Amino acid sequence: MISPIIIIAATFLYFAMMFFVAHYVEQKAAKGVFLTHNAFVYTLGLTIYLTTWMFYGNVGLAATKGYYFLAPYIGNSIFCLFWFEMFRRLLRIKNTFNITSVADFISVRYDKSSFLAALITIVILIGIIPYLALQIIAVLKSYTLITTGSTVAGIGTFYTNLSILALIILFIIIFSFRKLDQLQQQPGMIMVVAIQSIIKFITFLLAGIFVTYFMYDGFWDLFAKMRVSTVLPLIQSNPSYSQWMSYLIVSIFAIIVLPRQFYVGVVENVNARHIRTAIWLLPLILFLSNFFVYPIAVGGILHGYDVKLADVFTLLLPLKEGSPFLAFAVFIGGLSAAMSMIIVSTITITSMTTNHLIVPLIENVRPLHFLRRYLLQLRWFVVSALLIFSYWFSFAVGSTFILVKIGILSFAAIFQLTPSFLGSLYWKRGNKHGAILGIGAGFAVWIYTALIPAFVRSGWIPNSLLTEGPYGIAFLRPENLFGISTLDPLAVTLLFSFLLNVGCYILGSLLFEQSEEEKHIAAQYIGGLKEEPVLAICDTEHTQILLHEKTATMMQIFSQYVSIGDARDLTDESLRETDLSGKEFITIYQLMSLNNVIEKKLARYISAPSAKGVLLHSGLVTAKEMNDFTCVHREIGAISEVSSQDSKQAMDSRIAMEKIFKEQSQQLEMAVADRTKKLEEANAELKQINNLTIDRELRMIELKERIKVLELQIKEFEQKIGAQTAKTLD
Amino acid sequence: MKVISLYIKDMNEKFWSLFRRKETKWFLAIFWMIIFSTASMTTLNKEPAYVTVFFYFVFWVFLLLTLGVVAFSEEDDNNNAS
Repeated sequence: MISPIIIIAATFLYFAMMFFVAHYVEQKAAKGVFLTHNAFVYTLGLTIYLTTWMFYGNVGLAATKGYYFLAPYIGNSIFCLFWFEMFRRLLRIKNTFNITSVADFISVRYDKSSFLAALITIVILIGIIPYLALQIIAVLKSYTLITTGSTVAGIGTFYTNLSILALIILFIIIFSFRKLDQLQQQPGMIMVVAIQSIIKFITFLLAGIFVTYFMYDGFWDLFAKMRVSTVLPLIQSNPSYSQWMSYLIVSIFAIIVLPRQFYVGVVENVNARHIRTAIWLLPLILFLSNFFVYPIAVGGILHGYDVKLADVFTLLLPLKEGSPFLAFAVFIGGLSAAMSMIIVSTITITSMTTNHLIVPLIENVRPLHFLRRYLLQLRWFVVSALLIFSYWFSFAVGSTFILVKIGILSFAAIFQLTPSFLGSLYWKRGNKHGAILGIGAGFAVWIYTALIPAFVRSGWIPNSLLTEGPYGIAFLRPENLFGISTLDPLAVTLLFSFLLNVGCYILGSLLFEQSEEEKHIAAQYIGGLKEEPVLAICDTEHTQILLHEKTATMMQIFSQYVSIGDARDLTDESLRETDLSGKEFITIYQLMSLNNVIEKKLARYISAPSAKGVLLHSGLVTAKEMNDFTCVHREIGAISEVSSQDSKQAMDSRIAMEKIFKEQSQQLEMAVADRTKKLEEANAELKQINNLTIDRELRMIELKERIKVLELQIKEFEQKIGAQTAKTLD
Repeated sequence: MKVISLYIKDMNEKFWSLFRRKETKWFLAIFWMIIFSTASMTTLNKEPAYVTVFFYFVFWVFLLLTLGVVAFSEEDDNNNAS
């Protein structure tokens, strides 16, 4: 046992160090030095997948089910084969649409549907709370064990638990929700997650080496003792193929679709090249992290510890077998495994909850409009509420489950997003109706077959529901739906939820039509979508829109969520980016470009679907202007018979051409003016030269006449002199 | 010598491009899924758990090698590198 004071002091010191690391990395980043921009930090960030489930829960599963604990890691290792292509696509989409979460990613693809985003957020919120509770249970159990030697949490630890919870809340708020802008990378947080990954990895390996080489004489000694053991075969019995496959399948996509994985893998990715390293390094870390799980599980059982305590064997064995320092290190490792998951999951879920549930509520209920200016404070409130609720849940339901069961419950909930997620990337006809129906149906099955049985085991609902079915209808027993009793309950959940989810998604997508915008977005997600050309005649070429009116509307939109100064900056930025600064009138194309830029900027604060909704009702683009734009859009598509993507390019090139023509026209006018001036100057010069020539001619004539006169005078003078000389000589 | 060098260069390029193909990746994914799934269905399942775990780790090592080859065969696309 270790004194509670030492443990509490160590926990505070641990948090202080994490604060320092995050602060240091953020300061460096502010100076342009990005310590997190490398493939190894990126991959270590992805190992956030390894939570207390791996650290403690895996040993519990290995002790009771043998090799089952490997399934959640082998499934996703196999499908790393496809990561390079898939992640490059995800990153391209993230950069194009300013995606900030998995709910954003799916809902933007399906017509930027606010309803779908809200539905996904609810699924994630309900699905992840058990997982957050799992982390809290693990931390509390390990704390109680290391300080008292018992795994039953007592009243005495209540205030300590609350202190730890308050520290976590404070940490998240300070390092993630200081600003409203969600697109800002969080290098400090990512570095903290990477360091926590190293700590949990090394401490777990140390615990494994201690059990294998210090408690026993290596693997062969352990194997030899297993062979003659009479306890192990009794415990590790009744293998279920369906359960193994369920774990395998559910984990394949969890490593991408889980909100925290999507955040670290896609939102925080700064370079697509990092994926190459992650493809081999992440499975290698998963492999090494599982290497000592089985020896720890078997070592604990062979030493006579109760298999019910297997969840904490990683900590219990060093503690009870004379290595308190290692036990302390393992406690810190477990804390790291829990903290990284809690931090990132809370960040992502908080953003989703405010963006897709709270912001739409504020927008639709007029008395709540004043809250637009308090979005940041609302996020703080959501962080606190989420963690406090998870803490409560960990006592209310969690105590009746082993850790892995809680984790897999969450995985099965998030699995409901997989068909729509994959459909968004690979099926162009998938639409929002299909996605809403699919996710809704799959989630309903999950609630009935997985969540309700969890409530039954917690004593909230009578046990007869599981044994006899609702109203005594055995056919509808949640864990044996439609009378299936040969499959594991998890397999039943996955089978029926998947069938209904995919079925409704396909049916809904085939029955309902996509909107024009949805087709356009689908083309951008998938690429190369051909549209039916529609002939139309538009007269919008000369439509002139007053820019100052639109600028005022922009200011009004931004100032709802940020300060007046920031709103002004955002407005100026938008105008600069669209090259409209200082103009009096703009065209319909320029207005739509401006609208897109504003939507992207607003998405940084309230997510893309909410931004779209706000702009739709803001009056920035009037109904007539929207009709004009649609008309032009179709006209271009009809004339050139090209895809939506191409028609956008054509429109862009048309705008560019218009700009070039205007510039050329201006240059031509200037050239003409210049030439005219030069001609005038030349003409004046010519006139001057001409005048000079005439003057010269006239002067010459005058001079010639004067010469003639002078010659005559000279002749007369000579004659006179000649006459006088003759007289004199005579 | 030049001919042999060109041949080796050509074969080297063909080897890496093979692992860049979608068909190869699907084949490998299905292959490994079958290997791990059948292991849990067949006689391996009847062995003591530590034997099964041992074999799973051996398979996993080969899977890691496959992933290594695929990772190094991937070519960076500058247009997509953000």
